[in-house]
Amino acid sequence: MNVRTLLAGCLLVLPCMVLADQGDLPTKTSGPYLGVGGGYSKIDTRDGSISVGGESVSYRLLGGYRFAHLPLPFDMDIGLEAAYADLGKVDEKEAGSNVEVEFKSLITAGVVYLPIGRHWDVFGKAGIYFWDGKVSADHLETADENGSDLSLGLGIAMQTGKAFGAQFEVESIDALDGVWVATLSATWQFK
Amino acid sequence: MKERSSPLNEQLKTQLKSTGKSLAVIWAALFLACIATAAPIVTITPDAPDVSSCLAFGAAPGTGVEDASGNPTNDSGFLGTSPFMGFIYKDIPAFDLNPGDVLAFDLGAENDFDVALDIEMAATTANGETTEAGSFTKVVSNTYIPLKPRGDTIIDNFDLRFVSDNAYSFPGGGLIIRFSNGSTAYRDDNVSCDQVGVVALSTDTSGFFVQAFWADEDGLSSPWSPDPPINLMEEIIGGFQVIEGPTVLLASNTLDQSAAAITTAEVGETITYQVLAQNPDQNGITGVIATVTLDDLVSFVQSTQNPPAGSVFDAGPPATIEWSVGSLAGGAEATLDVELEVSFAAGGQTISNSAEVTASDAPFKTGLTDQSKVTVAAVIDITGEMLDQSGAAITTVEAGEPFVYQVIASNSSQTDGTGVEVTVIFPEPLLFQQADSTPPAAVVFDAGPPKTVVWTVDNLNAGQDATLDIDVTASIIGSDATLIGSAAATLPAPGDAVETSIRVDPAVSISSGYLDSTGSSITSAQAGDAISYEIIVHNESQADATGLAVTATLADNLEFVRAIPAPADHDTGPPDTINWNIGDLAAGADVTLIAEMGVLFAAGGQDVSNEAEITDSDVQAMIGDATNAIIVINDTSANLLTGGSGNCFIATAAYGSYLEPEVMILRRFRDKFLLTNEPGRAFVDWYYRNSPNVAALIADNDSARAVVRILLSPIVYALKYPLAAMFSMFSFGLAIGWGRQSAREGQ
Repeated sequence: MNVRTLLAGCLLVLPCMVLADQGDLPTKTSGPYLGVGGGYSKIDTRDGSISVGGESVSYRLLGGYRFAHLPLPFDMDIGLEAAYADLGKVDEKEAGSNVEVEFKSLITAGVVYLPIGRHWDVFGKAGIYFWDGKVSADHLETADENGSDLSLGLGIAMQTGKAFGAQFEVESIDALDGVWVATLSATWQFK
Repeated sequence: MKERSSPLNEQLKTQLKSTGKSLAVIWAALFLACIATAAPIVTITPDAPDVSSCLAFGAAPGTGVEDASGNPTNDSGFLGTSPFMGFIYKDIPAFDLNPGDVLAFDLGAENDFDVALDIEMAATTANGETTEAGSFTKVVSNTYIPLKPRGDTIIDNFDLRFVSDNAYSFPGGGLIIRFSNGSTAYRDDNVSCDQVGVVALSTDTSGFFVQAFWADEDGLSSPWSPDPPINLMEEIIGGFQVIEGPTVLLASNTLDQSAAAITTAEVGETITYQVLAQNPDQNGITGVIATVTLDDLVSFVQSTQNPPAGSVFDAGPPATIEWSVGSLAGGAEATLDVELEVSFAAGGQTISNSAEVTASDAPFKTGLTDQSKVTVAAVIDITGEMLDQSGAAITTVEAGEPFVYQVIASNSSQTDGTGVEVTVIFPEPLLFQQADSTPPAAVVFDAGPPKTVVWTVDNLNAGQDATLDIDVTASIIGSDATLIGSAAATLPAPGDAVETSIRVDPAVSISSGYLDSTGSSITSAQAGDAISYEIIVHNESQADATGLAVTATLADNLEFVRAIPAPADHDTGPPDTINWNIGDLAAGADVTLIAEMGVLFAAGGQDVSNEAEITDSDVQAMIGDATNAIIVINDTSANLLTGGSGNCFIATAAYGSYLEPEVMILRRFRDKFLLTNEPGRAFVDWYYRNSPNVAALIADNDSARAVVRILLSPIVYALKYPLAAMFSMFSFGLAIGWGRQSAREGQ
């Protein structure tokens, strides 16, 4: 599945979810939520003249807790979120070898929601990526490293009247020479 | 001794009887003339005599006790009660040994005691067998003391001579000669190589030698019982000679001034050549004349005879003395002492004087000879040294650098020398320039090979030196080469060569290293880098090098791109090798060879090594000079995950230049407010990591750059005018708050 196909699929699914969930429950309430998402990742790294980069498909499982109706300016809500994300694999033909870079991570982040209407929020996210990266050359693993780096994200979230929701976010991770992730996730909030 | 009656003799007798007295006298005269010399009838010698092995003519009695391994104990192991030893031969021709005949053995060393033994003979049961056929016949008694009872060092003169006192008729074939000391034990002397004879080894091909034996318990075969046992043909056996008698036995020795026997002498020394003449027969002999022949290396002084007799010196050459011994009663001896001076020319040589019975009134009494040899110490001492231009001794030079090979010849004797000649041999890489002799003498250089200088010193007085200075240079010869010249006196006698060496510093060096794409020297690189393997060949000497070629062997994880200059050959291998033909390289010049290559990803984390060596040259010694350079290849794999560069500014891309005022404002803010605290540094670090991607996106897009400039403008403005910015933000906040309040009131 390529990135564009995945994104197109998600965009088609999202309106259906919104239309299917028109209950009477408050749209934005405190509570835990779970989600699954997919999207697009862009990974770039280089060392000297060796440069490996490209686009890949990413997947993630996420969960969190949203704290709503707090006495914050602009009726902002806050939340905590954790996720496991597989950012995929990119490869390049470099210096006589086919070099592959693979990137996975655990994410913990804090989220600030700025409501824009009854169903929509714009949210910002700051967190830490605990990542595990592998490099292989000609299918032989040549490096396996891990680390933690800062990530910043910006997104838009939609809550239906019931438990279903969706969010689309773009994150930049302070790892390698640039890691960008765009993810569309479906969420289920326990109310 | 005489040969068995032959058909020829029978024919002579018949003819004498039938042709009358006068004819008989003529035939008798002819017969005597034919057999007037005491020629040996039987001579058995090894094909390749070995004088280094023991021949136990005088073995000591021992306890006969063996150790735990069955070997004799420290003593000889011989049984004192039955000390027999001997030799077994085959293919020996028939002979009759009569009383007065001589049985002789040849010693290669002087024995350490007088050899006086019973000697017995017996035929073997069959030719080549080891068992005696019947009892032994004693042919020599141990009461007989040979004229030269300890023998000498001269080979092939059968110097240990015994006179037979019993007859023995040998039918031919296998023969056993057995030695013992009668009823008493051997003398109390452990086995040693002082008792050396000229012997045959088991490898001898003459075909006469079967077995030696000793320590035999009973002197009888079945089998002979050496202790420990030995196999046939695995031991040493002495040769022997049977000489017809009666005759006049001769023996000679060389004595010093104290009348002690000597084997060495010095130039100028006075020595005595002593000759003994003995009549071993019971009957007297008259008209005996012995002739002494003197070596050219001695000068005759005088001679004395005992008993007094006439002697005539003839200066020759060769110089001779005719000694008129005259009458010798049965068993009598006569002595001739010849006083001689060792000449200068004898230095380093061996003097050999000899004596021979040349006449007697009785038949069979001439022809026996003896000689004595003396080795004379060398008198021309040679020394050699390598000197620089200032005359200082040196041990190393550079190729092409002139220096002096000095040879000094010294006369260490007390005698003035003449006819001295020294020959100097050069190694091929030394180039002869000229030579000077002090005192002046003829010097002739021969380009060879080998290169030689013949220095005719000629006169060299006692204790004096002569010096030869040879100006030379070393041609190109490569690294750490040591040249050795040798000098030796060649006249008046060849002397030992004296070697003098000098090391020649490395002439052509080869070194190597790595350069990056800018030509800077590097010791590390990483995958994907373009590097150059640089080889420098330098002629460090003062001489031109020719015919140079270099081969570089590249590591597996480096990808060859090109070679500068173009190589003569490139073999992609593996291993990947490049061959350059450099050709000539002038003194002091160098040549640089470059192999450009890329570092493969697989080299990451390794130490990669290229090698280069001189593989051809007109001077073979240079081949093999090599260099090896290691470059560390960083582990790119790990760096791809943990590294990261991020050195670009989005602002630089947006504003077009790092020096734009807006960019400089941001840089000042970075330096003044962000890099001064931990959160700020973290942000800068994050920014540097991620900004290149954004910068790359906008750098080539004018619209994007404009948007970014607009977005950055408030920040730049706020940084440039902070008070105004704070007032603006406060006003904006109030406006937002007022707006939201109005909205709630409206609802």
